[in-house]
Amino acid sequence: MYNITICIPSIRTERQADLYDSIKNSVENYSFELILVGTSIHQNLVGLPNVKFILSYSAPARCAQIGFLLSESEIITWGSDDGRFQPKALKECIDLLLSKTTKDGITIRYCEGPNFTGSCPDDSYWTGYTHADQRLIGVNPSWKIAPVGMYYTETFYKLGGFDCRFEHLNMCCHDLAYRIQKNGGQIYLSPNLVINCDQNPGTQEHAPVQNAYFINDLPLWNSLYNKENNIINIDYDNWKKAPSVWRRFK
Amino acid sequence: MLSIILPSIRPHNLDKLYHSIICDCFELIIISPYDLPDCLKQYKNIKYVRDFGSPVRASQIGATLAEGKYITWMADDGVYINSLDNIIKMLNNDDNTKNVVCCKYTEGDGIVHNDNYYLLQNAYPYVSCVKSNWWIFNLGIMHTSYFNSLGGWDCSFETTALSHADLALRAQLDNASVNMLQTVLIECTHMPNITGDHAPVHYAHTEHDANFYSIKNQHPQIKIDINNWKNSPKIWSRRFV
Repeated sequence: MYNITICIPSIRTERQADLYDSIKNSVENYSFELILVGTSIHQNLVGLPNVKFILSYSAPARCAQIGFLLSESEIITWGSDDGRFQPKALKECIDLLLSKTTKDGITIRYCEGPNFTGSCPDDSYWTGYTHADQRLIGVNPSWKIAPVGMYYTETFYKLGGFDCRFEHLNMCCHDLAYRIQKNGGQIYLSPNLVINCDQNPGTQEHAPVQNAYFINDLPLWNSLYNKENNIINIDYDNWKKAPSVWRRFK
Repeated sequence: MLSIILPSIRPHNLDKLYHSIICDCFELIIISPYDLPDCLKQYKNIKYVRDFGSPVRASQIGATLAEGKYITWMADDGVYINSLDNIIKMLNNDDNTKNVVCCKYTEGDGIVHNDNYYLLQNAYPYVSCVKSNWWIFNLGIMHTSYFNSLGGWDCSFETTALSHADLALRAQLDNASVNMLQTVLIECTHMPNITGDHAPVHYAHTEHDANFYSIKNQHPQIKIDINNWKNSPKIWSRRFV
């Protein structure tokens, strides 16, 4: 049993080794496993027993849901393969979560910018109301969002994990964070910046994610949350209803 | 769809195996510590998981990812020599999810054994609760929902042979309806004792699994935890250390 599972849906194989090293430095004395779900694995990671690789051509949300099926840890979190975990930052989050109840969670602060030049948004960024697409009837304005979250694995399973009708790992993370809070859990902000992402919006690599957001995820979000929404538990096996081949790979 | 579970240490056999599958709609779930061969990476009906656990843990991990209505399992030194579609049709024609179809197989010598060879009480150590007409599940096809409800394989076993025997015992104790066909579905190679790469399997069988099977089933339990694989070693030390 590891302390934490980090699941990364991945298409950028060349970045995986650096990502692994950043996790190692970030968890410090906690044990971890990295579950990569995507098209290939970096050769430097091939022989490591704490790295699992699952071949999948499906959407990021489905990849993450599949990945966590194979988690062997008490706690789970996720991230993107263009990110670097900051030294000691995951350790601080694990410390914090272990001091809370199993219903609770952590919002993992991250920043995004070309060549890792982004800066961490302030605390208000991490509530739903800050974001225009979250100002809907079904969203309590004070709820926190957790585009990257950290939860107890048992709670993640109990609530059914991600709704894989969403494609991108964004709206389904909001949905999970809200279900955590509807379930009586509290979400705490990570003490510090945890992930620095090298995001390049507008590039061809990013196009399927943008398309997923506008064509599928946002309309689905509106249909679910533009009304009272009391759903807490969903079926963990919902990933089986999502396409096994995502728009990026068609 | 049929999910075919394949724990594998022999990547060089996989291309031949994949192309031997005769089935309208299937997924092949490969669990291996070694890379998937490049020639197979183009097939979207192949799932692949890297794991260093025992063959049974690997199989159970594969089953966790199964999306087929039906599930079966395969050895990576084998090839299919007959169609799976007729078996799927048989299962489709009956609503009883406890139906299990088993088939015959050959190992190395090509000899097709008579039915006695495939009886649980003849093939594996004596267990008092096993009835004389119960079959082995070395090559079984069953409803995934039923497989899951039983909890799949017990990953306290290391090798597939006795975990299949244990699954067979639990299913038949649960009144599963088992149909052993005369069809020879697969041809496998055979590595007796510690020849070839078989030594870890041989020692796991003789030093642990056979005895564990007898002891465990003095008080058989039909249903086990589907997540029991998480309690098994992440690295199967007999082979990977």
